[in-house]
Amino acid sequence: MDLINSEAVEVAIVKGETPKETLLNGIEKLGGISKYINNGDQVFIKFNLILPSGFPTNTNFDILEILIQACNKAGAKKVYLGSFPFKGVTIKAISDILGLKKHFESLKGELAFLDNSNYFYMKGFNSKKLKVIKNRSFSRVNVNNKTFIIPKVILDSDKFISVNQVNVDPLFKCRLSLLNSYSIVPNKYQEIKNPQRHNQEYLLNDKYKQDLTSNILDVFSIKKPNLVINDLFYVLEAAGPVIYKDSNLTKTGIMVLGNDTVAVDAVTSKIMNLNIKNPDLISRAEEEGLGLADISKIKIIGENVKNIDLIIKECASKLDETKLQNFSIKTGNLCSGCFKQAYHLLNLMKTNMTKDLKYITPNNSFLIGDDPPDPNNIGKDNIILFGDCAINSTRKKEFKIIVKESKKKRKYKVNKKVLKLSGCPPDIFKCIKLLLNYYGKRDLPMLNLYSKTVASYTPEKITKKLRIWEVG
Amino acid sequence: MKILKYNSNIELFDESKELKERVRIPLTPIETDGNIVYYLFELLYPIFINEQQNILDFVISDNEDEILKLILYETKKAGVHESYQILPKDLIKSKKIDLDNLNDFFNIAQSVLMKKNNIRFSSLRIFKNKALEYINNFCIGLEDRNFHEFIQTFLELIHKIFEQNIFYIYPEPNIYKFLKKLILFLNGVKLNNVFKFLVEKLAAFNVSIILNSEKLILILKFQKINSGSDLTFQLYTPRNLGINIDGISKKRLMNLIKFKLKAEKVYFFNQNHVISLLSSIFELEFPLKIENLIFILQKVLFGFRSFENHWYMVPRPKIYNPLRRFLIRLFGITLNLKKISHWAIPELIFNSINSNFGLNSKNLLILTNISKYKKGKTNGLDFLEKVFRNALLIEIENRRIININPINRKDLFINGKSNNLETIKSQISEKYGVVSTVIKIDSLLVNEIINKSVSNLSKFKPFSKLKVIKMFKNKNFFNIYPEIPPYKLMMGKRIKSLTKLILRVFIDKHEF
Ligand code: SF4
Repeated sequence: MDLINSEAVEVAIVKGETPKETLLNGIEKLGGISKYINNGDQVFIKFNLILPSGFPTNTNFDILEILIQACNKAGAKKVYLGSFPFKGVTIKAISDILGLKKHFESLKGELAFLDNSNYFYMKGFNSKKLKVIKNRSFSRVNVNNKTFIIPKVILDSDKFISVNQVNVDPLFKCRLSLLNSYSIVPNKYQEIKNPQRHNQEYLLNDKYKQDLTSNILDVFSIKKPNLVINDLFYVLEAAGPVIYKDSNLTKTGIMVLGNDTVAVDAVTSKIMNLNIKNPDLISRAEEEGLGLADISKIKIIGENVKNIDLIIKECASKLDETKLQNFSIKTGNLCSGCFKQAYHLLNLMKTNMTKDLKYITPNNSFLIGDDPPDPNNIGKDNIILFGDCAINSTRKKEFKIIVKESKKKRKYKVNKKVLKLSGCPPDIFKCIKLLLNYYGKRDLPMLNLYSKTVASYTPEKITKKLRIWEVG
Repeated sequence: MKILKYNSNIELFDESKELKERVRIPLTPIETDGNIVYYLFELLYPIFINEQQNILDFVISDNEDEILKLILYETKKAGVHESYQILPKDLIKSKKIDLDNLNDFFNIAQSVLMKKNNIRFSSLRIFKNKALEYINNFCIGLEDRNFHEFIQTFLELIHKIFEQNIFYIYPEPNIYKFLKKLILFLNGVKLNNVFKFLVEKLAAFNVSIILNSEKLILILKFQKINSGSDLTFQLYTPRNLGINIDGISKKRLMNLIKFKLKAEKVYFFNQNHVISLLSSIFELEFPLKIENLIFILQKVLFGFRSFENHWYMVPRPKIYNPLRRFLIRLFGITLNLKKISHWAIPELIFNSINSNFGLNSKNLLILTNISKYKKGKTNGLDFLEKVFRNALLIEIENRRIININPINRKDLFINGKSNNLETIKSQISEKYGVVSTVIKIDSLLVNEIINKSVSNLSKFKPFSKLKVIKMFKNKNFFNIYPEIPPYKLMMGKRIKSLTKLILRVFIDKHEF
């Protein structure tokens, strides 16, 4: 654990007319890029690479251009750029769709295929060869009795820069740099594994979020960035961190950058009016000695914190605020795992199923968490049970059985209008497939088109390879 | 002058009166009967310009420091100019007119006119001398211009006037604000060139449009004789064509007009629907919000699906015949235009733009013309350069189109190098910042889209419409770099299954 020398912690807050100019000004304020990059350094730039989608789901490429050029100017031997994307999506797929590999090459940078997906289309990989490449590309690192695999290109780089597009996030209010650092490990290692779930204690204490926070900080402690940039020149607000129907882009013209991730995030939280203790990621990081969160101790250059007062519309804090046409959303006790996945699934449905939602049968209940309230119209409603907690806790519920009474006798029938989306928490792409099977492709033409579009860049045989290569 | 005389003589609008006098619609070569002109001004002026009476016109020097002429138009109704009087040019004493804030000047002029002439005006127009020069030049030989030339020169005039800021109107009507911002937004892209391009794309046609209203039915005849740009236009009332409309059915009226004007097709619309659509267009804000464009598209598609409800056509398009639709359903294709999903299509486009291009993006649109390139290979080094016609860089910021920039050929192609969309993307990104996507579309495909969707509607050739999809799948006609997911999907699917997939979104269920 590093000891923090508070005097050495510097954070610049800069405001400008264009993202490029603002970043250059910020770097200048911190003493210039040569203060961070030496001649002959190998540099790794961690950016947001989530989906093959446009800005601001991913980092602003204008900013990356400036960074690559600045590193090269400072004499960097090699500039790599990379990140692990959303579960089930390969870096190669995103690179092909956004033209990243060639774009970075033209700037004298190199896209790092951290998931080795550049090998996925090659033939003749036996298990021996696979092992050799895996060993060559990953290191196993133990932190707090947990094992992570992390790409060697990140560990071996002399300098590490994190550039993060600030967007709202359903769990941590905003996606700040600490959260951005989490995707330097594959998805498999980002998942929270706890076999003893589904008990009240786990849910009440939101153990999922606690474990997730610990994991993020463990990964962060493996390799801390030398230069951290929170790009909030444009912020995706209202719904995020990827573009949804309710999302809005707001221009602040501001960037916050410095040499200490925790300090940069703390200052960003402050100017965005996010409660400093909540996101608790920052306070936990400070407690664990991973950085400085006390604003009064941070040397702040540029704009005055007190003069900036940003109002950002946060994500919906309750799932029923998503307002899905013809759906009633009912939640029991749930942890952040199901909250996050349900939030994304509901927003994805709202964005990509507008026509389907309008013409779907009007009675649909979406039940989430432990012991959720009963659906509105038992027998009529299509009931979607989201997550293992909802499935297990409603096993003996009345709505699972339909009673048909005639003059002579009562008949009990299993309610077939129940769709179980299992998982702890469920996987979104699997949920989409199950929804299509349940309602039928004819009744969900928009979701069908969306799922086919997604399948065009996540073909089954390639996603399988993510698992074989231990990165899925 | 003729129209002023006509307006001052007419007491009450009466279509039934026998009209001998033909007048020219001001600023156009279109001659028609005075009744129509009177009616058009009476109808359109209050909606699009100003609903109150009397207009005060100023002609000022180009450097804005001198009033050269002052004219008061008296209108007995808004838009119906009856008489005019030239007022002393020093009537209103103002050192320099603040053209950016005309409110004060309007109030001063109003009080002077009230005091001296005991008359109120509702609208103030200011022409710089240069504007009058342009208008006068435009009017020379106007009567001899054909319709196509007239529209071209008229759009040119509008472009010059708004680009050079030499005409002002207060209070500013929506149409004025729209044109001013549109021309600024188009950033050098000329309206007349856009018009010329679109007309060229249309195959020869001969259509009549009936614009129905309780007061006066208008009949518009448009004809394009050759595939070039010969466009003609005439304006009639049923009476002009010797048609008595008393108790006549729509169908009979359309068939009579088809016969009298020898039209291939006759369309029937309600005037108020057309006016409502135009009003929505003029209300558009700039920078253009994509959701506003989507709203307009929704309106258009809603109109399109309201066949035999809000609009009619003879000959009746065969696609609306249930038996034929049933037959193509047997091939798995649902094509009921009355069930076109007027809101789902724009939603889908909107979502697709948002998620694929992002909320901020720069996209390059290249228009090619491969029909002019007969020799050589389509994959030759200079192929793209040879077929290049125009390029526009479209900049989107937070779902608004904030800029449209015409791009020169020399900014796109590197001499002697293999030029493809990928090299163009990096070339253009160097100069204008990172360009997300380069989209290339060929004129032949644009022709097909326009003609298949607009003019060929009455023919029942569903499989010929698949040709458009086929062309979209051919990289010579349409290409995107990098390949965004919807494009990838399109390229990876067979035409039939792609059509089925899309039509399920585009056409609503329960069609029979
Ligand atoms: S099923 Fe959902 S709510 Fe229950 S423990 Fe798992 S993630 Fe949490």
